Amino acid sequence: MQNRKPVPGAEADLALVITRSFDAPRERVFDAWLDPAQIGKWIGPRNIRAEILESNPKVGGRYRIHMRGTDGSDGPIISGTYREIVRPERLVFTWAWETAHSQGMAGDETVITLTFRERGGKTEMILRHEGFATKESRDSHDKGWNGSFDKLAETLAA
Amino acid sequence: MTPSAARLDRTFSALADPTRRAIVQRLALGETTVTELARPFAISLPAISRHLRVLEAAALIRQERDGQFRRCRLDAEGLKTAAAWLDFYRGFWSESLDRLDEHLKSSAAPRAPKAKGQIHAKPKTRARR
Repeated sequence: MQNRKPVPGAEADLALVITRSFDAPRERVFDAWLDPAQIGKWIGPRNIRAEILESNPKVGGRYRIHMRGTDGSDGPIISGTYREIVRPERLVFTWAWETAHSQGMAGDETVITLTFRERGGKTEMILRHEGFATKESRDSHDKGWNGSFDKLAETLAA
Repeated sequence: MTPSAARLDRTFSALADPTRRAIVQRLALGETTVTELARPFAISLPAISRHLRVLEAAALIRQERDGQFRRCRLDAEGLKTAAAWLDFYRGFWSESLDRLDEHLKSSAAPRAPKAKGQIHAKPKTRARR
């Protein structure tokens, strides 16, 4: 798909955007994403015990995470590359399933952009997970689209 | 690229256009003819038809001939693909971030990090006497 033409409004790519506030300084929230000793403690749903197979937190460096079930069951491996590391403001990395996965997304590289803002002693973190890997997808746009799309999906599911 | 990734790409790039999103949103209200669909847009009928073909290829809409009219309606398939992706990750990240919150609280303010601060900034050098 190298010759996909840019379409007007293409910057408003569909993405999942989640905003969270944490009662901790920015540096601590930021480091929790990069420190291999910390990531495994929280990443993944509750039935997952993540094991960090590889971690090289610098631009161009890779990470690999094995998502095992807490019941000992095997799970998929996720890996990616760090694209931007600006402590404690911004973190951009790719995210791909190395192995087949219930969502059938193996091989599909997506991009995660995290921004961290200081808000009254707390940290506001915006997670933006983009559905498809446009190489130049960078700054945040169009949050509103998510909401309308979700409503539409709900309407259809009803 | 896997078939599912290609499908997701088609769906998301089809939706990454304001005119096509407006078409999808109009069709969410109910099926209609192409002529009727084109009415609110300041672009030609052939241009609308091109958008419709993109949406059709992404399994977001279906077009059917009805006598001399072409009728359009939503096709849930493409939206399901995208919605499943969004739902999966919304759950994945919500739960992860709940755990991150707990992790940050449980390890609150580590006063003396035991020299494993490989990713921490260098300590500020104190003023020398």
